[in-house]
Amino acid sequence: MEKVVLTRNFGKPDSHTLAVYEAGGGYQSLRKVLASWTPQQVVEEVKASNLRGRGGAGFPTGIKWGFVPKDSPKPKYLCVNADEGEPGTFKDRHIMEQDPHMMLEGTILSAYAIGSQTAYIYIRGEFVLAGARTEAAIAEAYAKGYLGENILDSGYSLDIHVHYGAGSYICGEETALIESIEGKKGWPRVKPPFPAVEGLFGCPTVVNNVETLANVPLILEKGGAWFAGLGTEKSGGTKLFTISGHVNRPGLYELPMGIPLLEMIEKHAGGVTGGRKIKGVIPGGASCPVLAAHELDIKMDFDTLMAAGSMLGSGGVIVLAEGTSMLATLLNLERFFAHESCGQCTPCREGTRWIVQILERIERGEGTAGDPDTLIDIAEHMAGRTVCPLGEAAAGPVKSFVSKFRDEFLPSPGSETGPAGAARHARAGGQEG
Amino acid sequence: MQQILPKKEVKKLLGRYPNKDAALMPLLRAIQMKEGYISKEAEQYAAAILELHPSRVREVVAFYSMFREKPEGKHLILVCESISCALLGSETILEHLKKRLGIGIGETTADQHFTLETAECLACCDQAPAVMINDELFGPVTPEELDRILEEKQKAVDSGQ
Repeated sequence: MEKVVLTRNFGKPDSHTLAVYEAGGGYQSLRKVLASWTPQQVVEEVKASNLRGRGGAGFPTGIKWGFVPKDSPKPKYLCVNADEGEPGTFKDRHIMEQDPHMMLEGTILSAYAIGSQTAYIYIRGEFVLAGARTEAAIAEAYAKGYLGENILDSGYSLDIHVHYGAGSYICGEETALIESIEGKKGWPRVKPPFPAVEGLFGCPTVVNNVETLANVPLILEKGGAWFAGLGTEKSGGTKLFTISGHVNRPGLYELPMGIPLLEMIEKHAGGVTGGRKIKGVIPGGASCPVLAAHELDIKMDFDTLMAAGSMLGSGGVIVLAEGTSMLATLLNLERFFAHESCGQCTPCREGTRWIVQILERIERGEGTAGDPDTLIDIAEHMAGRTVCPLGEAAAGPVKSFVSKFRDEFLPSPGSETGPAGAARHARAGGQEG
Repeated sequence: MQQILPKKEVKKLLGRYPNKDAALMPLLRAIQMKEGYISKEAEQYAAAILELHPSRVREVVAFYSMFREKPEGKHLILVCESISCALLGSETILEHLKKRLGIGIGETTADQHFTLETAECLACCDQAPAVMINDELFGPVTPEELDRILEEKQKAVDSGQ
């Protein structure tokens, strides 16, 4: 790894404990900030850092915090989005398992910045170890006086609670996450009002991703300018990339924002298994449009990928080797979205089911010459026509896979046959959550 | 009505939120951890504690896939079949388990030891293909390794652990 920032404690014995975190300089930023900084100074430093949200959207974090009204008489809430579920992504789980205090210190500093006295960490229900380590870290932080009443004699008080999800991808969308904390099914809200003005319990709320918050302690220790200098012109810091699929060394890699994709695959992930060529790469998690083999000479940052018609998303890089059936791959992705559609908006609820049905028909050898265009047409009627981005997330893969690998979606698909992939999905198209 | 959880525990859960409704998910989670699933009686109990209409509770139990509405086997086997695991053979793993256990997806063996389910991405794509058995994650797994793991689990059940 070239620039070790976020993963500095990973791999140390007992890296998840307070003692190890403090020995590495942990909670010094909190001490410094609570002793002499105003909340506004924290916001300004994070703005200067060019930190952008790591959950997928890439929105500048300091600017997001700035939307919280300062004169509101209502309580303010910070929600930590630890509902990591984008296929191909597993960075936040690693942070919580290996260095939960880094996330906690970032949470406390960020809550201070927006004037919040209660924060909720929304953890995926399936994250047993990550949840246990986060809860243990919270208990340690209370015992040490980093949480609770009058933290470090600063007069500032904060409580942090863990709220577990229960198996629903959509709850990673920030307004669905808020609904879920309120004890409801995860149906995203119509915006505006935006959460910064009217969020959790009707109060001003900020929702930040685990990795985003984990960056905050070092930004405040070493300065926004230092952090900005680690990244590209418009996006500061390093990035946690998770690489999976057909590579020799799948795993979590902390790399500079803007690293060339091929360098990441060849140098860090050990190249493609079996010495095969790359057929395509999904660069940022299941919802990001696929890049074909001729598009792989690209830098991995928010703006470059956006310009190329894809997304950096959550940094989950999925490598598809030569021989992979793009039909089976897209069917797998779309079964996921059909299953996870919350059912609120017709274009997404029905569209994802239709897409799965058509792809299954093609797979059975009953496709028609018009199917590729029908698939793209359905996708175009979903994108931008739903309350939340799930419709868009399901449409992007359809449009990119079908337009870039069209032959495989025609009645007589090419010679390449299915991978072990695209397992039968008993609940495909189901709407139970 | 039967008190499923100690009053103290309920009070602690309620104390985390400014209103009662918000405690619904942690309450259901606690009930499921204690009883293994959420029965119709448990839904009534949660509704009574939180002063909610029972249909509000029903809706939440039905929406979230981890809330289980019937008793399951002692070991719940989740086979991840999202894309990274699928690329590396989750279908083979699933077929092997179906054959070995003699059950389909969503079913439980006659001796109530094993329930087989599929799961969406468990966020361990670096360990693909991955399988979760109760709270434990295994990966990358082969059919042979799974046989060995299941034999150990079977022994643990047989010896009353």
